[in-house]
Amino acid sequence: MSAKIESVGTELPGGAPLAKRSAIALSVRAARKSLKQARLEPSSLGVLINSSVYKDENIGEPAVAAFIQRDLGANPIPKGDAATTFSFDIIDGGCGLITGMEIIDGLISCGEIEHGIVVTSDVNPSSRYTVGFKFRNSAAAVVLGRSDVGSGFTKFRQYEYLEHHQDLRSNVTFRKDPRKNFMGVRRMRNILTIEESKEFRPSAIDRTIESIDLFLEEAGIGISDIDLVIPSQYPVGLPQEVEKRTGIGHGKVVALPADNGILYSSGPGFALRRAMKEGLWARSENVLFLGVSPGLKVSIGLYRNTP
Amino acid sequence: MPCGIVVPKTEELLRRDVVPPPYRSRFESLGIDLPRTNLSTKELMGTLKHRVRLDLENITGISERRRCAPGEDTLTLAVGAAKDCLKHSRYSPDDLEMIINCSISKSIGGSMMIEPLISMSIKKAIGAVKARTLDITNACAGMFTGVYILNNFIKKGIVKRGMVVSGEHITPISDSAVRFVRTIASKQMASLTVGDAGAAVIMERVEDESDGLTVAGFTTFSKFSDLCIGKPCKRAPGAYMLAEARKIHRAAKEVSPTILSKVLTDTNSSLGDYDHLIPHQTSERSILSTVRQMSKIFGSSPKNTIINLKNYGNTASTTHFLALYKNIVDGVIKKGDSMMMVSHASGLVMAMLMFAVDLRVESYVSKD
Repeated sequence: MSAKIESVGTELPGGAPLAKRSAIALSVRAARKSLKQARLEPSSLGVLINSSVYKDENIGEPAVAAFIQRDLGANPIPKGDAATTFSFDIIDGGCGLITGMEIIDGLISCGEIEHGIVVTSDVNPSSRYTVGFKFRNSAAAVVLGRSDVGSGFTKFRQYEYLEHHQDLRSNVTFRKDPRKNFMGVRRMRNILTIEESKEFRPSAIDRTIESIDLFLEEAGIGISDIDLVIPSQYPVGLPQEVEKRTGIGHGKVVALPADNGILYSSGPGFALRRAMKEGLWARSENVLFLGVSPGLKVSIGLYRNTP
Repeated sequence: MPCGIVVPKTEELLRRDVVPPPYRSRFESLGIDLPRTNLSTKELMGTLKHRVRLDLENITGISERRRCAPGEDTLTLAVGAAKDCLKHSRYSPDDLEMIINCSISKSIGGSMMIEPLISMSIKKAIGAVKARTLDITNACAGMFTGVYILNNFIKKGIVKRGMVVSGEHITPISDSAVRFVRTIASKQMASLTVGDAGAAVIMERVEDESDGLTVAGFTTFSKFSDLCIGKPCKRAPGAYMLAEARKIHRAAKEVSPTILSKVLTDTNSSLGDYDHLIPHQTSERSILSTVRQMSKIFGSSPKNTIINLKNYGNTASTTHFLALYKNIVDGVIKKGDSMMMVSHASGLVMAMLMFAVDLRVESYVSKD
């Protein structure tokens, strides 16, 4: 028994100004869409995992997942024998959605829960006090449920390459604002800074290809057995490079159009949504989920999809 | 001994067609790291910008707390705790298959680190080359949540052993509180109770007949999620925390019986079966009041309630494991003692861990 993907919801900013900025609002809307598709009530969720990296105001406590759970109405205050929901945040960059699905797969496999959701979003915490933030505000949510036979995850692996540990760094530091205020003064502020070295992109792509080879060898299958790849969309060009360098075949790696902007932790969620919308998902038996994070880390999940 | 894995009832198994998890987990070793510098409550209260008439030490039971000096931070505390844990362990860094970092504070070299993961820096520092890494946050329930995840990975057979670790350099929130607390009702008042510490625990697959760890009652009462919020300051270094301490205390008392009742029924145990209860270390009065209320409701009380606040204060996600470690060192907790650890954390998260002490206790007593 493992976990199967019930549905995926995605959300981009629109409408009210608050919704454009708030990771929580975007996450809740993505989660509602995915629950609606799965025909599930929020109260059926045993676990809610949030894998956002860039959060509203860089909040540290409580877990953002708790706010999402509350706004979603997923057992905010269970009483007596009523169902409960446990929420927490994981931080795993572009691998977060896949790691979240792996955790929920484990909980479902062991009979701890029936359904779980992974929600992820990234927003610019402050348009004024950030340097190097290039991601589009976005959110994605994936609902997972129990699979007794047929569809479900069959294998997860993570590959880490510490020699690239410092290739991408992001932190919040109290320092002089790089921009002057209206009085022409540069004040001291807590500023989010993302610094990406020139090596990050080529290293991430090379290591991803290397990790896919290792994974396939361990799984005892070849690239020709893979029907579809749902990858991180960052670093930019990763899906195209995976398609080109693995020789998997044209159209088997989901790449989002450039006008989508750069999607970070929600990238695999948007790719999955597109694959489902275009019918690629329904036609594919072996699907590879691929996540890439700074550090450097590559997460891979093999999903068997029974039409 | 009530500390077994919670196995669903037979009819439930049939209905769900669930195979009971094949493996159990347990705590193999513990480690801590504490900053060298102490700050007494009297000294701290003396630095308040505005005069507040309050005997904080008397109310909370906190006489002093440890505080990071220059060169110490989240990472150094986490690495120190991880190394101490390995000292007490049968395992070498090479044997670790997973490292989960659970720190709320992410202060490294004066910055709040977002990426790369702190767990990767810990892995690098201790040389755990084969371990996969993960950072999580769940406020003061962080280490409990790390245990919850690692326990599941061990149960499923994905890993045989791993480490849950946290370094809490949390005292910058008291620097903020010192500037802003004006009255006893200030939302930053609770920030004056915190202290810095690192803690680590190695978990392993149970290969013998011992009961292992029971992970139970993990629930988020998200209706109360905005009662305690921590984030970076806008115009000052570090972070601040706004907490409605009384409301949190009331909420914790309101929700605890529901979960506790479920857990005691599932484990077929009573509070009186446990030798030691380690609650989240906030303030002595609120701990004792909650324990009194629970004992009244459930008709029995744990033989001993551990309060570890006097010298360390509230060390966020590390409090339970720091208390466990210190009380083993002091000989209060002995091999075979039955433990119940209960977390109440911002969110509002309630979580429980039950186990019989199965560590090599003598290594802690002799080495400290």
